[in-house]
This record gives sequence, C-alpha cells and structure tokens, in this order.
Amino acid sequence: MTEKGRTFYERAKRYIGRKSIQFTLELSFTIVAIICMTLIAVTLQKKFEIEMRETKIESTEQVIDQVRLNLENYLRSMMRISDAMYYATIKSKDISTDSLETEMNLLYEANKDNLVSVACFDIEGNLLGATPIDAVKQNANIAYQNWFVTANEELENFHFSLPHVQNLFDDSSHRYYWVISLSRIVELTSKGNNQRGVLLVDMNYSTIEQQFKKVNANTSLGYTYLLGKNGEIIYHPKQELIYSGLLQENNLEAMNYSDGSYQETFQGEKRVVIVKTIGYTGWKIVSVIPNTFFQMAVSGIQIFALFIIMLSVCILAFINQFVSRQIAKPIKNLEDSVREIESGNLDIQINEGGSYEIQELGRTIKSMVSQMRELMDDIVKEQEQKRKMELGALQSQINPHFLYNTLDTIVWMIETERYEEAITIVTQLASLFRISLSKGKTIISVKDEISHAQNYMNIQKIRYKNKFEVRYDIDEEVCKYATVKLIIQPLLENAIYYGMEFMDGEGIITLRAYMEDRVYIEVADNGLGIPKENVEQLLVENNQVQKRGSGVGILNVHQRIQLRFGEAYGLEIESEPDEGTCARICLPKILYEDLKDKGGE
Amino acid sequence: MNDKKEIRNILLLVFVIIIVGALIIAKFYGNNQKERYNISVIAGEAHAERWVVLQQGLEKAGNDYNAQINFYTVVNGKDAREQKDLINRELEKKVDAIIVCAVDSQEIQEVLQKSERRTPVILIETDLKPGHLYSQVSPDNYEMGYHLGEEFVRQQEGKETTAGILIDNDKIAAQQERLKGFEEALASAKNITIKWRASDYQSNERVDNIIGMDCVGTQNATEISKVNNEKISIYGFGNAEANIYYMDKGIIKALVVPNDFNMGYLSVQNAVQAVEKDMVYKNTIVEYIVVTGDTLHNEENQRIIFPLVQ
Repeated sequence: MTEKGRTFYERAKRYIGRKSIQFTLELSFTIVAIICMTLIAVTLQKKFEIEMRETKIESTEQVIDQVRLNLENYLRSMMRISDAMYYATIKSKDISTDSLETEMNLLYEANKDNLVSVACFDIEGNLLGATPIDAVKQNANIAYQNWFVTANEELENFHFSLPHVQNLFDDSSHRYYWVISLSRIVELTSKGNNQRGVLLVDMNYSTIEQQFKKVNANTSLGYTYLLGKNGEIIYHPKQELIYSGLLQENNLEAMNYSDGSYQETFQGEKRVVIVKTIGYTGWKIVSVIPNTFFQMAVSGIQIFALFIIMLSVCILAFINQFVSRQIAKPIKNLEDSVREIESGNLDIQINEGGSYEIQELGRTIKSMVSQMRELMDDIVKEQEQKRKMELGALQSQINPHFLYNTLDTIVWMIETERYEEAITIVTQLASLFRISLSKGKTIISVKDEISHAQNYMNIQKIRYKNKFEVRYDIDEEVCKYATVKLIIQPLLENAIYYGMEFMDGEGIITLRAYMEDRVYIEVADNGLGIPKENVEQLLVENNQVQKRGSGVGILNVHQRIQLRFGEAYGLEIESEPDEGTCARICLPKILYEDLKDKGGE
Repeated sequence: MNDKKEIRNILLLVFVIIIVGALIIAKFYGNNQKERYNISVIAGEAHAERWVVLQQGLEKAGNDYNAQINFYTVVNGKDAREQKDLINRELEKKVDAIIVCAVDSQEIQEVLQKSERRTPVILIETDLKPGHLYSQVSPDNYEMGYHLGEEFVRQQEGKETTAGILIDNDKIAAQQERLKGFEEALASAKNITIKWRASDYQSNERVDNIIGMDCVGTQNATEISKVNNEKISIYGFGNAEANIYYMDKGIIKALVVPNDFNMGYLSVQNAVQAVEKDMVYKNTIVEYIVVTGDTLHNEENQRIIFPLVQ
C-alpha cells in the first residue's frame, strides 16, 4: 500500500471509529450493495452483449443466406434463358434464312422485369438478332466490348460481367441502362456451315440492386454489399461515394475471405464481416456490422439495467437503514439506559429488546442495577440502624434509673457525711459521662473503653456495697487499638444484674482484654449462668429473653460491632449453668491512631 | 443526532446520483433519437435532367445524415426575384440549413447578407466573391472551362473554324468563370474565331461549333443543331442523358461533367456539419471529368456520367 493509500485507510478507519454503529452498518451495507449490484450488472451486461452479438451475427447470416439463394435463383434463371435461347432456338435454326426475333421476343416478354435485352452476334460482332431494340449504335465496337472478349476466351462457360452501362443499341428515348452481361459462345448454323457466335443476355442491374436495397433497408443489421470474383464492387449501398473516392471499402481484403464471419479493423473501426459466396459466379456477399452496432443494440438494455440498479440500490439503502436500525436501536437504547444509570438514576426501566446477545446484556445490566439498588438500600438501612443503635447506646448511658440510683446514693452519702466517697462517686460519674460522649465519636481507644468500664464498675461497686469483686486482666498492648464505644458497660451491667444478684459477696466479675490475631475483651462472671437455649437467643433479633437493666441489651452491642467492623466480628457468649457466663467481644486489630488520623469514623 | 443527519445526507446523495443518472440517460437517449435535420435546397431553373444526379447525391446524404431534404427549383432562371423569395421563405420557415445554387450570384449574395438569421448557407456550383461568408461546394469552374477549351483546340487540329458561345445565364458567376477559362485556353489558337457570345442562338450568325457554358445551354445547342439539321459540333457541360445520347451520336464532341452526385452529397454533409457547429471547409472542390465519344464508356467515366440509380 502506498503512503497515500495508507493515510486514506487510517483516516477512513478513524472516521468510521467516531461514528455510531447504525451509521457504520448502513454505510458499509450500502457500499457493499452498490459494489455487488455493479458487478452483477457489468457481468450480465457483458454476457448479454456477447449473446446479442451472436444472435445478431446469426440472424445476419440467415438474411444474407436468403439473399444468396435469391441471387443464385436469379442468376440460374438467366442461365436458363440463355440455355433456352441457345438449345431451343439457335441450334435449330439456320441464321442465313431464319430469324431469331420471334423466340427472342417471347423469351424477353416472359422475363421483362429482370432483363434489359437479349441479343445474338456473330463472331465479328455483327448483330444477328436482338430484342427489344434491334438497331446497334454505329460506334458500338461490339467485338471489343468486355463481355464479347471474355466469352471468346473461355468457350464452354457462361460469363457474368461486372455492372456496366449498356452500349449497344440506339435508344431514341435517350435511356442508358446499367446491366450485367451474361455472355456465352454459341454454335450457329449458317447455310449448313457451323460457325461461332456470341449470345448475350443483359440482366437488369436494378434487380440485384433491389435485392440488396431490401436487405440494407434494415440498418440495424449493418450493411451488405456484393463483390465480383476479383474483389470489384458490384453493389454497395454507398457505391457512388466509393466510386468518387469519398469513401473506402475493405473489398480487396474481403475478397480473400472464405465463407464465415470475421472480426476485422478497417480505418480504425472494429467490425464483424460475414461472407457468403454465390455459386457459379464466385461473387461474394459481404455483410458488415460495425461493433458500435452491438453496443447500440445493448444500450437500450444498458439504460434499463442502469435504472434497475439505481432503483435496487435505492431500495437496498432503505432496507439497510431499516436493518441497521433494528440492530443498532437496542444497543442505542441500552446505551441510553446505562448513561441514565451513570447519572444516578437507578429506577429507570432497562430495555431488553434486540438480538439474543443484546437481550442478555440488557438482562445482566438489569440484574446489576437491581443488585446495586439493593446494596444502596442496605447501606441506607445500615446507616439508619447505626444511628438508632448509637442513640440507644447513648440512651443507655443516661438511663434514668442508673442516674437516679447513683444520685440517690450520692445524696445519701452526703447526708451521712461520707464526703470522700461522695467525691469519688461524682468523679467517677463525671468521667463516665465524659467518655460516653467522647465528643460525639463512635470509635474510641480500648483504653478509654476500659476506663469507662472501670468508672462504671466503681460506681456500681459503691452502690452495691461491694457485693461482688471485680478483677481486671488487661493486656497493655490492647489499649492502643480501636473499639466501638460503650460496648463493655452493657455487658458489665448484665453481669451485675444476672450474675451477681444472688451471689452473697462471692460474685466475681472479670474484665479481661487480650489479643491474638484479633482483639478480645471478655466479661466473665461466676453467676448462675444462662440456659443453653437462651444463649442462642441472646444474639438474635426479636429474642424473647426479657430485658432488664439498661434496656439496651447485648444485642445492641453485637450489632454495633458488626455494623462497624463486619460480620466476622461481634459478641460471643458462653455460659454454663451454675458455672458462670462469659461474654467475649471480638474486634479487628486496628490501631486507634490509624483510625483517628482518618477522622475517627 | 449528528449521525442521523449524516444518514439523511447520504440518502440525499443517493437520490441526487439517481436523478443525475436519469438526466444523463435521458440525454443519452435523446441523442439517440436525434431529430431529423431540415435542409432546403434551392436550385436554379427547373429542367428535366439538369438536377437528377445532384438530387441523388442530396437524397443519399439525406439518408446518411438523417436529413429531410426539401428540393426547390425556380421557373424562370433569368430572374433572381423568384429565387430570392424562395430563399426568404425558407429562412422564415427556420429550416436548419439552406443549400443554394444561385441564378444571380450578385443579387443572391446580397439577399443572404441582408438576412439576419444565422441559418447556415451552403452554396453549390456557383462561386461568390472571394472572402465570402458562406461555405461553398463546387467544381473549379475556371479549370473546367480551360480544359474544355483545350479539348476543343485539340479536336480542331489547327483547322480554320468558327465558334459561338452560348451563355445561358451570364449572371451566374460559375458560367463567367467557365467562359474565362475557356477563352484563355483558346487565346493562342489563331485558327479558331469566336463569332459571338450570346444567350440565344437564333439571331446569330452560323458557326461550325457551338460551345454551351452549362448543361441547359449545351442541350439547347444540340436541339438547335438537330432541328436545323446542320453539321454543327457541340461542346459543353453536364451529363443530362440527352447530352450523352448526342455524344454517342457524335453530335456532341466533348463534355465536361462535374461530379454532381458528390456536389449534392457534400453540400448536405457540410450543411449538417454547419448545423452541428463542426468545422466546415469554406471551399469544397468537386472533381469533374472531360469526356469525348471515345472515352464515354470507360469504366471510370461511366460511374460519373450515368447515375446508378434508375
């Protein structure tokens, strides 16, 4: 490919690349249609032209065959006249005594249309008898005329001359006839002696001319002319022009052709020449069909074909448009839907029309969208739940019972002048609320969470007058990790309510924080424990286990952890009746510092 | 959408192509059905044999070039008025071209020059002034006259002899040219005395030879000679059958025969070319032959002298 071609190709590719599917399909369909139609048309046209040519040549051959037959019949009838004259009349008469006139006149009258004259001469050229005029011109020089000389050269044969003007008789009407002379040598009997003479039958040239005129009237078959045996033109539709040099004919070349059809080039014009030879005379009928005639003949068909092609291309263009629209429209619709989704509208109806593949694509996008929608809904729901949970957790901190009881305790302490204890409990309470609020953050460090738990337990211990013991087993490493806030306090509350109620000073609550691959915070008591079936219910929503205390159960804790850190984390509860219960918080190992840097959430 | 517009454009383009194609086809088809040319030929004086061969040439060319040939002659060749009227009438009819054989070169030229119509005009046989506006198809009249003169001198073989010249119409430039050529050829022949030049024989002195300057003049001279049964040798122009007959009879000694067929054919050809605005030769020379009794039936001469179509 040349540089130019490549640039064009690149440009076309780029152009097509920018266009829609429908446009590309339509353009390529139309181009293909035009190319195909043109190819078909050219092929058919060529085929038709060849066929046309053959048909035309064939029909011309038939026509000139007919001409040949007619001409042969004519020439034969002339020879028969000559024979009749010779054998029936001349042979039986003695010219010195008998006249030939009567028989000659009879023959002439019977064939007047094709004959100009019949005449008989002796070997010196003296007239023995002639019809219709029997006066020879003084200066006729008969013995030197061509037909006379050739008859004498070959004694046995008939001789057909070329067309010439009859130069024999003194016709007072001033008429001159173009004739073809049929001459032969005859045996004459004069006074009992045999001598030679010449019998002349002058055929009317116009009979031959008429024949050819008829053929040449149909100009769509080219033209037909007649050649003598040496290539002289006997008849040609443009004879006068050829005689006066205004026109040339390829007759000398055509003379050498034997019967059949030939392709030749004459004066720059390509043409088909069909040749037929006439019996006896060696004359040749030559038919010439210029190649332009074939083209002209097909030009009508060409126009028709061109019209059909244009019409077909037009129809195809419409069909192409329809088909490509059928193909491209579902894709286009799908594209529109996707664009709509892209702009954030998940509620639109996605089109699922078109072919199988496009339907599949549509379906996939549709399910994707519905999944997206579900996910979005889930997110919204989760967010809402989180908010609710946090509110709940917060509420649990300002549980009026707890506050009331604690304040009551403080009042009581002050009344009994136990100021030191009152100060402690107020201090603990303040710290408790400070951590509860944590400036609105939901994530705090494990350290803060544990000190919150300690504040709470310190208050509760004063309130419950040390009915139970609290043990702390905290791995210092754990303190720097992050946790959801206010998750230990509800567990402790539960441990106090359910675990310590019936323990008379023997209750132990252990708060343990440690880490393995995760961070664990355990609240264990040695209380009554929970029946196994209840344990399973604890972490399920809508459980039937009656809530007491803060009213915000361990479920809240569990859900908040899961909402924040995922399903893998949360709360585990193990309980053995009469042995105690252990609630284990399971958290991912995320450093509080890292989360704080990211904004605390 | 941009693409939609483009599709519409392409469809529009296809339609335009179809319409243009249809127009081309229509034009092509129209050209095939080329209308027939309408060509008027205004010849000189009506005469039975004078125009036969010319007409054959006209008709033949009419066939070949798809032209309708309207052939007119005038009743009185001595008066240009009739021909002028005819020319004006044909010009009025808006024929495609006219072919004129003027009976009065001067006057006809004036008529043609005055005409405002731009109809192509082809002049035949006759010659207008040099630098003329029209295309012309004619034999070389001067040369024809000269050759006839030469033949005349040759045949007299130095004998003392008298001659009269019949000029049928001296207003025709062609006849003047022939006369000029003829006289020039005779200039050195002291044995020949030209007794008179006239349009009529009757009133003139008896001479040994009469020379006719055109076809009709030659024929008239022959008739006169025959009627008076005088031994007068005739020389002249034209291939009217009577002329040939009397040449066969030995009354006419020499004839100059222009190729009238070619003249007719070429004039129509030139006219069609002029209508089509193709290049047209200003001056187309037609050949001629000089025949005597001996060469009358030569193969070549036959072809020009005797019209093939009978």
